[in-house]
Amino acid sequence: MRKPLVSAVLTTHREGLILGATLKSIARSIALAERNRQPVELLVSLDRADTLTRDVVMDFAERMETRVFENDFGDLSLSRNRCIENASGEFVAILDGDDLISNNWLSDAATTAGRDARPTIWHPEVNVVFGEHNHMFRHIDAEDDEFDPLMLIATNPWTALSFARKAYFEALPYTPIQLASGIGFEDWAWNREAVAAGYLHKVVKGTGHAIRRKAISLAKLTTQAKALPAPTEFFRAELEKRAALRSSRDHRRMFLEPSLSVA
Amino acid sequence: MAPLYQLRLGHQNQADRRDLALFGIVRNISSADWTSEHTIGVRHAVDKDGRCFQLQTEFRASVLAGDRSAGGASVFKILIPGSHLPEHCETLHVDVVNEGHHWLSDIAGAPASFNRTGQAIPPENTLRDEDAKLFHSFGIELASSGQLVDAIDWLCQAHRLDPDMDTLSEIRELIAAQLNPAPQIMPADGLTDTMRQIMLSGFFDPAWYLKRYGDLNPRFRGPLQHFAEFGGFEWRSPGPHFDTEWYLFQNPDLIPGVARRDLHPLLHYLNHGQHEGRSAAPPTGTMIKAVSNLLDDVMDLDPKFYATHDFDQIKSLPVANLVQATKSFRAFKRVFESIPKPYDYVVAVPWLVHGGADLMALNMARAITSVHGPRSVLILAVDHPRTDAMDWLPPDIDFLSLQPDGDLSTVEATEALLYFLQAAAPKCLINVNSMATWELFRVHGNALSRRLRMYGCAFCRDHNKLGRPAGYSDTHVGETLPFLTGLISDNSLFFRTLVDQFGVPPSLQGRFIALYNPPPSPVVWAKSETASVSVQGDYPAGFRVLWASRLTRQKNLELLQKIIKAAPDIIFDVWGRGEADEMLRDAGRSSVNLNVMGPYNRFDQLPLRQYGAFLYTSYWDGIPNVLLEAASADLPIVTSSVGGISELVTDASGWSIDNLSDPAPYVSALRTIRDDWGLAARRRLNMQRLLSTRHGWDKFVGDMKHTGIIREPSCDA
Repeated sequence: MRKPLVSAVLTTHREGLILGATLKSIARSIALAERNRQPVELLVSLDRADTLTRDVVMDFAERMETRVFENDFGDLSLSRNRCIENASGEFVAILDGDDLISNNWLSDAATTAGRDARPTIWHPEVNVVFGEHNHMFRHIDAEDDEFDPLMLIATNPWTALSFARKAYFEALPYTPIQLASGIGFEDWAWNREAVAAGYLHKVVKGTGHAIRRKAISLAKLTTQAKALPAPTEFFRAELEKRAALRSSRDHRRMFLEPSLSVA
Repeated sequence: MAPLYQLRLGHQNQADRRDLALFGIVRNISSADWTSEHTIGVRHAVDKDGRCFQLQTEFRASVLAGDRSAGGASVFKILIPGSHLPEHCETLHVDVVNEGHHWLSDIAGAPASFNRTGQAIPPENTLRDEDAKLFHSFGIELASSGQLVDAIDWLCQAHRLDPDMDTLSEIRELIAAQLNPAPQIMPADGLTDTMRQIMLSGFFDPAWYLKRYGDLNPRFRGPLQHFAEFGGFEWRSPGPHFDTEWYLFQNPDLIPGVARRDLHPLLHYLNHGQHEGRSAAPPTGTMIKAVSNLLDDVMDLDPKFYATHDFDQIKSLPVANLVQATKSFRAFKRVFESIPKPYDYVVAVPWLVHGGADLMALNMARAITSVHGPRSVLILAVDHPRTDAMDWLPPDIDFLSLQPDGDLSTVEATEALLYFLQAAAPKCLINVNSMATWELFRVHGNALSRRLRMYGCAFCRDHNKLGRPAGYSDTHVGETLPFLTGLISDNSLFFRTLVDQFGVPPSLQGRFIALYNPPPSPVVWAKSETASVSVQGDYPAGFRVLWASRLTRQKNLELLQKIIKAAPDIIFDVWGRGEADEMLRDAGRSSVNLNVMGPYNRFDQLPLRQYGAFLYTSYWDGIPNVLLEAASADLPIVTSSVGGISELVTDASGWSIDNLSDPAPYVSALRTIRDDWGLAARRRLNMQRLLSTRHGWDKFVGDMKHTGIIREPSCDA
């Protein structure tokens, strides 16, 4: 196989037959990318998977080249990290076993990311939530006027299904979920740390994801456990800068303009 | 007993506590059981945090329409006043009380869980289409008889049950048929509040409005006023960026309110909708295109797409805004952007008033700055906008209010505080009586306890109007103590109460911290001054006793009045203010030995030299600051022995009376002070020793350090 441009990383657990739709969706997106001469490899993590889920994956792997990793983490973050470590592509696309993607996601994301040399995490332009409480929402582009980094304290503006250079994921590995310790929302924490590390979050126009909302989900369990995203020093660092700037202004006024009193 | 139906409320009813209309259908199995009136019992309400409130209220509802034949259905509506419901009510449990074979199929869109016989039925209403038609036909009947507002209520219910009926378009047509392009409007004298809010929102474009709505009389002046008083209710849009019709189609729960003119769509969006993530206008063309492409790609992959009609009309799909300008977020943002630096220490208070707990908060903040330097601590007022006591705030302690306008609910304040703590990442949070902060401990204590040190303060068991213990030590300490680094009180006797009440094991008792407050405004007599004549035991003007505190129920004013009545040989000056002020003044008019002196600002500014003793009465307390002040003023003290008081006032340092109703021991103690100057002097001396050892400022700071509340910067993880 040619060296892949994109490594699509899919984490699975116990999706069962639902996974079949996800794999079909991914296969279509890979096929479009291949037609555009953008080779894609698929890495699938089976993390404490049940028999049915494993069978679905292995059956799929008979028809399409797939690298399968059996894991015993019980943790989405660790599953992703393992696949990312083993990825051969220049870019990595994070995918989820419950969800579906637009056919153009992998190809358009690769094209857009390839043209922009800035350290950027790419997201689909739109999301449609189905299953419970159908609705749609768009991802915000960090270069839009309405984006305010402070909103990351209150909300997670982007889903976990992002696309970026492998090196960025390696520089920022996902942190394990620790619900018992009140730590969850690993994708929210990751997005925060990416902003703190200076990465831009941007959208790939014309692309979308369909996100399955289930009655029982990790997000709901996390909310019920009253967990919070892992702590971040990003905002406090802004306060340190503010204090330093103020102190430097006072210092300048004291020594350069001695006739003025310090406020 | 009737089975309970679980009714999930739409979020507009959760937040606003508006009157809640329930629409229902009851199907009679037997025509013999037909009744013209149903009784609906609203049994419980559950709020957003899962707290269950017993309501047990019954409402009668007349049958409005129906079919008496066997299996026929009858339609009814009841109105529950918003005042009956708790704040942020999410779920109601409801039953139908009537005898007979009833099958409750739906109330306001909630899936019914049981039928009368207790059999579970599927969440999907299997007769949904039939019920929708019944609501619809009743609504059309009302519309044709001119009852437009009621008609819209029922048509909205029909839409709820069966969105495919396109009932909303029918409603739009009914509204359009009633448009009044040239209403008689009295020109507004200046801008009304509504007009001002609309104008400042930026959504209203007068030129666009007049051009868009050509039916308006071209000579009509005042498009802003027209939109505010008529146009919004007619589903007209204010400008290109707010689509009223789309907003109401997306949120049909608002339509009845608009029809009744209770609710202006744009104002709803400005005041609520945007905070709830509702969109002002349809998604942009590129978003629609991207969603359309996505749906084309995935439609065949999952029956939730291809086996339903939910995704047939993209424009009807609800749009959620991830970016939310909630009140909690805005409050947090304002505070975060105001602070000039990071703080390692935050002291949370409900407000800043001239109270005992506020003084404790200030003492702790001063202690922190004495170790860590100026501006090393932030005092954050979380629950109320009151800041009467800014004069108490030293200049080297920073203070901010989370809600200067007092517009946050407890839930919103808790949320804003949670955001602030995650962003500002202090090392230590001390809560002195803030409700929202206690709630934060209760809900997020587990997660937060691993990120910062958290301390709660509890001084005594506060009681409610019925005399039941209902303070934070009862409502919150039990659930939160496992997450707190420490629980602080101003006396150690209170901890024994907690151990007795909650069975706190020794492993958690280690978190109890007693911090003894220094006197708030110590009275220092200059050595050159002679002591007051009253201290020397000579009372030419009569033996005068000082009582000074808040005039509230807590202070056992009934006992005070009994003491005054039982001691006509003693003069009582009562200082203070509160809810019992009038009652006391009435008593003062009929008692020659009672002077009601009015409020005071500082204890040390009272004419202390006139007094031979200080009297204190109370039902419950920690160690009240006024006792420390009286002790500091070298006044002999007679007090009720409640809470932590007996740690300060013992038989060696004063007179502590273990009786809350009999005035006799208090009178006896006061007369002893008057008649036995030597005994009074010995107890005063013991009190001074106690003050200087246990209640000194250096000890206070030292205790905060050695208990770990104040740490060296390098020690804070």
